[in-house]
Amino acid sequence: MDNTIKRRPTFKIDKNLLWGGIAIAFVVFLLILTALDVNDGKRFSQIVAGGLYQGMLIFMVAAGLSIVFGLMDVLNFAQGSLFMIGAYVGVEVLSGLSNDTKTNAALLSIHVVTFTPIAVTLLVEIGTWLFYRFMSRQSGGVRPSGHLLAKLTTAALVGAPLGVLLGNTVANDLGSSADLIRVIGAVVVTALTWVDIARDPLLFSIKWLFNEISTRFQRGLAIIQGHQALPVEALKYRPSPLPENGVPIIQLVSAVLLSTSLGILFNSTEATTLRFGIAATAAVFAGALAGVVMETVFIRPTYVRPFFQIVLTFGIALVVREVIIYKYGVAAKGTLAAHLPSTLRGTFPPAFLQDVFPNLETSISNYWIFMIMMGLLMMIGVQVLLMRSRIGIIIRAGVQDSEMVEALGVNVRLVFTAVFGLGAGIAAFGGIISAGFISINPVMGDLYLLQAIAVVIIGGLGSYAGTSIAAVVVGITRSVAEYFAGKQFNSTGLAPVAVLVLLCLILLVKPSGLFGKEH
Amino acid sequence: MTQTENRLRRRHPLVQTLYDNWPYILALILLWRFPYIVADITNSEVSPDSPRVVSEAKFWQGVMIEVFTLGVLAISYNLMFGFTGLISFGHGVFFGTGVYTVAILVSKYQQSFEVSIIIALALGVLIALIWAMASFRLKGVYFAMFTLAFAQIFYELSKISLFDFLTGGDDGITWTAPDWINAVRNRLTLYYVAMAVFIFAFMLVRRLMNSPSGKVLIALRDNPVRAETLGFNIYLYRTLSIVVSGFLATFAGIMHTVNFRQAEPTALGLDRTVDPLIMSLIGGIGTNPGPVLGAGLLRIGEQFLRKEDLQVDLNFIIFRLSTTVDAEKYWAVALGIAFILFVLLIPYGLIGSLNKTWIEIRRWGRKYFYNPLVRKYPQLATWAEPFTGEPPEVAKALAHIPPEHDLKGWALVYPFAAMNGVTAVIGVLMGLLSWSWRVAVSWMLFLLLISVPLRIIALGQRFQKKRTG
Repeated sequence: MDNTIKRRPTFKIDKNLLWGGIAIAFVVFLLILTALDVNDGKRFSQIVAGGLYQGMLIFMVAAGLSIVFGLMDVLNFAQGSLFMIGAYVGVEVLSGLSNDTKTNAALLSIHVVTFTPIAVTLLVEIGTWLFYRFMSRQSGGVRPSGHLLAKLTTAALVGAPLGVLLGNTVANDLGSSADLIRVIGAVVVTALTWVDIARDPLLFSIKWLFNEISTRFQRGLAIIQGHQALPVEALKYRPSPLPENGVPIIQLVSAVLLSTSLGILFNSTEATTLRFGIAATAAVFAGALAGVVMETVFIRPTYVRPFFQIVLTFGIALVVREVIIYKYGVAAKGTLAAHLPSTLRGTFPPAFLQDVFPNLETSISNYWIFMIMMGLLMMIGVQVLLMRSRIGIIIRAGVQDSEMVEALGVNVRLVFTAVFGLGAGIAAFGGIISAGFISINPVMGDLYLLQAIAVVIIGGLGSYAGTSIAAVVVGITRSVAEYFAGKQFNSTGLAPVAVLVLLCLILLVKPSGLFGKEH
Repeated sequence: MTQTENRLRRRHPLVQTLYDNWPYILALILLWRFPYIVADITNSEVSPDSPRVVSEAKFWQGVMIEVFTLGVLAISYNLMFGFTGLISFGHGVFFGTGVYTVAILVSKYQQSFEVSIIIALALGVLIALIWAMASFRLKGVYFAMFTLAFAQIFYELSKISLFDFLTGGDDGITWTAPDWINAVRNRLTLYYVAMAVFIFAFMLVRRLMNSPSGKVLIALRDNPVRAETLGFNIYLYRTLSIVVSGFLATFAGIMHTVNFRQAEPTALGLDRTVDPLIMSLIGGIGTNPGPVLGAGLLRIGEQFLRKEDLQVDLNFIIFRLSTTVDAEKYWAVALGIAFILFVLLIPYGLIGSLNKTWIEIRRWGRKYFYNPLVRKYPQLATWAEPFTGEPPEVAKALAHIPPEHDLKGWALVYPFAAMNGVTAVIGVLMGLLSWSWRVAVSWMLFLLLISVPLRIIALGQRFQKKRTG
């Protein structure tokens, strides 16, 4: 007898793939619906770009929320406050930096002489430390201390003047569109430098270079003398006798490159870029600091009482809002549009692109594109950090089982604090970025927090990719809903309702969000 | 009849009930006589003939009506958050239902006041049912977020101009309450009606929590998996909690709109969650009198603290340190900071900490003044019941805990022992700093005063840590 049960072949679709496909299909459906209704390229591009930039701003609040919840089960209601702190700190710094040309010139020269090399050295040091702390492939590798003074001197003497020179040349040659090119150049050079740092600096030390040359020399000598030469690989990777004393070349090179790029960036004809950059930096650091303090002082004692944790962060949000109202009043403070670099103030496409593509008709503000770019940068940056670095491994392992990670000897508390600070920094960055376009007021944090919570829940708590996708979905939904509500009912206030209804529906269909773990 | 038998004698159930609830009965009598007591103290009329005149007594009646309203809201919030363990961020939706339904029905559709109240309550229960049914698969944070989104939908809808004909948009609706319950013409009646509603809400939740269903709700909070394993239909009990809570919150909304005769979008907003949350936290979540106490403390305290600029005289702390604080601006900040401090330091609120401290004190009593009678009949240890509401099981369990330390002699000198070396040194230092023996002595006295409650709270927390592990 044939006892075997005949089974039909099962087709199993990966759940994440399925829900991701549904989310993307939903966005495409919305866009097609809008495109059919609009019949106007300008308006349509506005709707899409508007949705995207809103999604990106929401994402910057939601990123920290998502990672923090995944890692430590804390739903941080104060994330919106950090967003707001970023905006207000930016305003404070920008109003502190005067508009006066003389002051600006002084600021610039002081900056070029002092800040650039120090910042560069610090960046290189932090990068090297981070690399050896979290990313190094070698276990127990020796960390080269490097010569701080050497790097500082190199950066100050070579990098900064080079940057200023190059910046001047570029500015004179290219005229009005120089700013954009400067920014792009600086970003590219910085990115290249960081990619270099991420590789093993030990291999690029002077000792290594010496070793390499002498190896090849020996090998050539052996061949000339008619001996059997050892393969290069056998000689090449032998341990350097005193690696900790070598100054990694890559550090010098990256110091020069970085200071050059910063010099190019900051040597702009108008100092607005510089000031905006300083304000953004200050905002990010203030936000990260606030996040770290929040975690250590308030969240840490309440890990054993998760029930109260939500309530506590809620209270913190309340206090931050009230303190800001106490200091600045209830009224909105307006945008930072006047403080923006001229490149960011125009509309897309710029004149030279319009010459090339005369049919290209959009009326998107450059700033929208800037916000979208920054959001994408954050999105990809955090993704890379999570997937490609050692701390990312720790975070992902912590999301699965933080007690196990702790048992393996990782200081999870420190990682918690760092991640909290990271999320806070991203939120604050979102705040200062949004302040360039959206009027600053004491309830902006609450507004973005609501949307961010919707995003995090839709994406599934603890899933970073889910948050990224959901941010785009929510942004586009909001923008499309705004368009249709304005057209059909003459009331754009329905747009947030659409997002909330979407959230409720998704919770009804899939209680743990699109990509969340089943609980 | 021996002494033991005398103390164990059975009382008539009514007498026993009165004996057990004496604080509540005292509070009831005080609330009943409140308008007249205030009128006597301030030497003003209880209900002036002209409705325009707002005498001191009438003003305080208004404050108390607000206390009753917020008390009902806080009781309803506490039922969900404190007893059932469901974090709700959308209580505004029930409150707003009460506010808007009555206002709309009376002002736009000319319905009678009584009918609109009934319709509002029915609508509140209906929304609670929808809420419970829609969220029955959600737990913890997801549930909280669902409530937030659900309430925010209504909030956004009430603001937009699309429904102006119904809700009046941002401006809201102004309507007139019938004369007999009008807060301007007949505030004393409204006071007693509000008090009746408040007592009804309090008794309802108290009865519910003392019933077997209430115990299931607590089990749902403490260990939902176990409750489900024991065979309870946890969704049914959750629905019960949400519906009763929604019903009471709708009632609070109706009281609010009757008192102020208007409906605004803020009635649906997040503030209607924040207020009862803070009140429950300060009074003590998961206790019956806690939220009421919190509501009373905040709303009445506000009257004294918010009105005028506060002259803060800190001369006794540091010499020549006195400043004027703009109380109106500081109020919200101070409230938020109090909120955080309560969550961090006194998470179970005043009543909750008191409960735990009573338990601790009873333990001391057994340790220091060892009583063989209590050892034999643990139910005698329930003398503090009216305050604590602790089930006798706890007392029974505690009666057999062996004494850990021999601190007999310390009981009398405890207040002085609590002021340890560090605080004494601080006192001396501050005295030296301000170069005045008066300051030094007042610092010592101040530290002595605050050290006792702090120490008691700390003991309660130590106990609480020990119990939870």
